[in-house]
Amino acid sequence: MSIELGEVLDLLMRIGSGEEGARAEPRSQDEDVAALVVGLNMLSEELDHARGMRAEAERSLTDAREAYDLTPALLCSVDARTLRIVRVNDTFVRAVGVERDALLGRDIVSMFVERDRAVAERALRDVAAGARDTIPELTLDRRGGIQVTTTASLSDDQTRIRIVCSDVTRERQLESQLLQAQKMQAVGRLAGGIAHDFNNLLAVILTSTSFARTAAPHGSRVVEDLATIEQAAQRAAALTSQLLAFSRQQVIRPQQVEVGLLVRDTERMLRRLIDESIELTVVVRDGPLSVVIDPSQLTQVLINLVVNARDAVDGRGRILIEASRVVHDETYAATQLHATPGPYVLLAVSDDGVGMSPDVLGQIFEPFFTTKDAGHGVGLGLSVCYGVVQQASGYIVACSEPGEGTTMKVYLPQVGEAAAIVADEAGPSPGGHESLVLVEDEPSLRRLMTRVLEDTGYHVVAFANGAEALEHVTAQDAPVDLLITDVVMPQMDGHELATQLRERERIRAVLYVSGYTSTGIVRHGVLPEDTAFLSKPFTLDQLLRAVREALRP
Amino acid sequence: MELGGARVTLDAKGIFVVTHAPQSVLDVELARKILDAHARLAAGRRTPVLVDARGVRRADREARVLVAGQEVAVNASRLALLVGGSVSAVIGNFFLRVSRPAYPTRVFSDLDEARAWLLAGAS
Repeated sequence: MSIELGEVLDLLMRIGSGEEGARAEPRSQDEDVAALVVGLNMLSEELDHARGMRAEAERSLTDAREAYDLTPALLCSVDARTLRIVRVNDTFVRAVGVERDALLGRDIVSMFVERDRAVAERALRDVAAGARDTIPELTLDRRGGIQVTTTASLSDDQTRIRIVCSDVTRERQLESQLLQAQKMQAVGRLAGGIAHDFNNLLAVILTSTSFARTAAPHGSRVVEDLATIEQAAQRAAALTSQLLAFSRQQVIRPQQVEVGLLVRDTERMLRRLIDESIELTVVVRDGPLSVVIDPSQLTQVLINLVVNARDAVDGRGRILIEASRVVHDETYAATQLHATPGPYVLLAVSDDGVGMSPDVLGQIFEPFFTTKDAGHGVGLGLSVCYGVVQQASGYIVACSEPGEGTTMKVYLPQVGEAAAIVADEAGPSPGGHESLVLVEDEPSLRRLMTRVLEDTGYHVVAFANGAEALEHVTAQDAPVDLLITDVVMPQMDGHELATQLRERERIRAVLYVSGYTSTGIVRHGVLPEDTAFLSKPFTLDQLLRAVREALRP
Repeated sequence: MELGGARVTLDAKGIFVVTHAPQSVLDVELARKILDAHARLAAGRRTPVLVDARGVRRADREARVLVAGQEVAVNASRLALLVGGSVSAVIGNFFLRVSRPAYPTRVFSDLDEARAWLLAGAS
């Protein structure tokens, strides 16, 4: 073999081994050999170009995959004939709280809540037939309860339906809160208007009655009748005063009030309001707890809440009043129409009474709504609380389940020096790598908690109810490090779930989470003493610290 | 017309002839000059093109992509590529398949055959 051909072969070997930029100089006098070198140079250049194109395509594919998984939309592809899932993005997996492997091959229709399944199937069949590309607003079930708006499109080869869901759960919750707030505002305006007119009329009645009494013969029957009219008018005036309080039109004298002191000062009077058979406990923490409010109004709020609690326990039970400080972070504040980020004073009144259904809960602040028997209140107590708290830039939340008691939480913006202390703990929020099982029936909160815990390194599997969690955890090879569970849930409550898992030695620790206050839930016998507990609402930092604390051996 | 590395003319038969100098390099700059010259000489007509590439030592990819594209097709009715021998012809044909010019193109190692093919297409 000639030297020149050797050089050609060498170039060929370099090209064959994938060397980038493999070139040779066509020095040969032999025309064919020189042509070969020129040709191989061009071939090598084409290969370099193709490699560059391929690398670029791979980068684009990686970008597209990342975008597919990172987009906030829930993306899912299903087989157009069977409607079984063939592909989902990470957002979908996280949102529904089911492992990807368990999702693939599953009927997408079964992912929706039962009432939506027929609609979902019909709509998707229409999409498969090319008849439509939008689907009504549906709710994802399973580990979901996620309200989604959905668009769907058929792939070009008509074998797959691409489904794009946008999670609108939070928007719907805020809309619902806004509607409720608008309704209360309208009712308040109406009540306030009536109360003003009534006040004028009552002033005329009371003044005229007074004049008439002066003119009437002393000791006559007319004087007695006039006294009856006067008493009735004064009762009516008291009612209009409450209506004005509800409609936030009452004349108030706001000042800085230390809630802890006010609660302590009111305690004796409150004890007189309730039967001796009812146990009243007062807990004040995290003082000083300063807010700006008319103190007489706050006292009225406290009285109204305690009276309601008294009526709920019906002669025998426990009432707990708690005052403490909470800090709303931006994430939590975004879920509450009236909340803003920052420190609040929480005044909570809990009872272990009959509790309320969701329907009743939706109406309790409306004026003249009452579940009490005739003669036991006119249905203005909570309306007054609502108006007073709103007038002080706070808000009030009711947490109740039938048979599980009620907690009424009043949040008032904290002011003064104490307000500057916004965090209980210093230093960065702690994370970890332990395995966690989260059980929370409120979908948006479940998703938020999952995200936060995963972002800080934990391995989280989330469930919407205790039964599913029990089944999953029992089937696992190794016990999980921590069960984080809501306490009050339909079917199986958190304590029962934890008890069963402990008996089976499937969990190492438990952290209970509840809208009820910790003291309340322990005292009501729902949970044992020395229980790791996190009260809602909580900041993300508080969640992480509570988890770390619960994991501590 | 000398373009530095190549000479171009429009011959009596209306063929645009490009003759690359010995040991020349066809880069995108030269390719652009050739295209511009062709446009000027053709004056709006589509002409056959004869490229004598026997002196080309290297043809950059960017230049190859340019001359295979639509820009040439505007003025070229067909193109004959004249190479030095059978090996060059094989290589030339291989790259024609790779670059797929936007106009009829053939590789020749014989000048007369190349001219005949070009003129046959013109008639």
